Amino acid sequence: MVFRRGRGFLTRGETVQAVDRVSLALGEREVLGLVGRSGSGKTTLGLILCGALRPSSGQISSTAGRGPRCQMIFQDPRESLNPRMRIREIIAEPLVLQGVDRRERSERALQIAAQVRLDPALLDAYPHELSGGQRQRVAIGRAVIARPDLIVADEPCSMLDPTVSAEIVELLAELNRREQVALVFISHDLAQAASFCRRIGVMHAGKLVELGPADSITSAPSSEPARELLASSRARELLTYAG
Amino acid sequence: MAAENARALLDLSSLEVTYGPDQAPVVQDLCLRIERGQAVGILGESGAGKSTIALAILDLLPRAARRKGRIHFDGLDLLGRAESIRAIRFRRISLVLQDCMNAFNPVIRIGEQIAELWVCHERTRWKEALRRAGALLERFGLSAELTGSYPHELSGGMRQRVALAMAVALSPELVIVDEPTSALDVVTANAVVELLGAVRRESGASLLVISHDVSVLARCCDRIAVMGEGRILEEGPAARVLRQPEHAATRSLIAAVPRLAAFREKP
Repeated sequence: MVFRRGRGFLTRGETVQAVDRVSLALGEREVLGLVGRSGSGKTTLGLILCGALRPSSGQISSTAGRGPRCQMIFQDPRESLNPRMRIREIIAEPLVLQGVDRRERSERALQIAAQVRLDPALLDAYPHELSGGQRQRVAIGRAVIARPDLIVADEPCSMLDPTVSAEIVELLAELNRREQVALVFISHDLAQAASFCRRIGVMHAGKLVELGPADSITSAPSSEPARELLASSRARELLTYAG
Repeated sequence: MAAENARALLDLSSLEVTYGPDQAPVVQDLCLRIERGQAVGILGESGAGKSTIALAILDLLPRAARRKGRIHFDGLDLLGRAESIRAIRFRRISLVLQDCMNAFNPVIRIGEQIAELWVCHERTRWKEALRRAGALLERFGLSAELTGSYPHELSGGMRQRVALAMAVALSPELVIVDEPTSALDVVTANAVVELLGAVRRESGASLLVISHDVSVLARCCDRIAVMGEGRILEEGPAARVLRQPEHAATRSLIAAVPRLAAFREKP
């Protein structure tokens, strides 16, 4: 994926290779962690997987014959939820495209709220009335209501408090098991990804430098970027104390 | 008792803070001591009142807010004498705010923002202050050439380094750091935590580090105080608090730290 940056009236700009020759196969219902530092190309790859960005070269194919049906969960739910829509409408919006009528949409929103453990009383509220964790549950509800084949969650916990983050990770793991949806979990925290992803890809400077079972990456990382991420990770097993 | 209190660098006791006349206290019945050279961490979720303590110490709360109780710094009563805080703020107690992008003036070069500290507080000449700014940046692992950059040209990690450099520029006795890593990726966050340790070793300053991240405080603090709903729930040596937590809130914060295979299904 090539981006052009800094192009203005007077400058030709330079190009940035945000994602560089990545090959990746994702199984049905698989949970893949995609980890790397800021700027390593994780989000760009996530957007390509979702079909939200067309790669400059290369292709994506799916066994489904059509492209995989994809939903994305973003880092900042404050910016990804329409402030003028009620929560009920936000969750059910993907169904509008499928031509589902209003009454059924409302019913489905209620079921989804129970699934993502969102208080049904909040369905009539607006996004600003919710906490960060509640907003992220709404974003997850909106992603699962259309029964996608794949959900790409891009740093869904980085704006949340630690205990709320842990609840969201647990919810994603549960949805993956119950809803039979594949999940790509993007994070800069290797420990968080390794807490529930069986396979992990490590990105660095646009390249997928390591791809393998979470256990081997957390016990014997083979690339320098993976070693660096592991050394800085916040895993409970790796807590160290000053002095 | 009095002699013991005189030894503490910072001594907060029965501190209560309210943000308005009819509002419930955001901080209440809070007691905390920081000895010279010690690093103390305040751990808690958002809304626990952590940042309010930092603002209360430096008298930076909104006008309608009220502080009660006692704030003693090196024997000086910071609650009683409103004027004295100007001689202490940044010179003896510095503060690094949570969102350090907003702590810089976007239209002034980094070097001038640092140099201004010495010019204002120590009447240093601009030329000399600018030279010292470059030297300070180098001590913090940055290039002296950054003095000519504007804040938007720096990455988040570089900005946090500059903010920490500015916080020690006047050799304060206490450096308060509010959520130093929340906007950074784990590798940069780790480097900033190591830098905090270096700041302490080099300058001998005491640290008060505010964070919701157990691993950050574990790595850089001698003691940890856990806060919830405006109160200190437990306080003690870092390793004791994190290995044998006594309060349910501490246990749930520790439980939120990911374990490597917590939710993974066995293949």
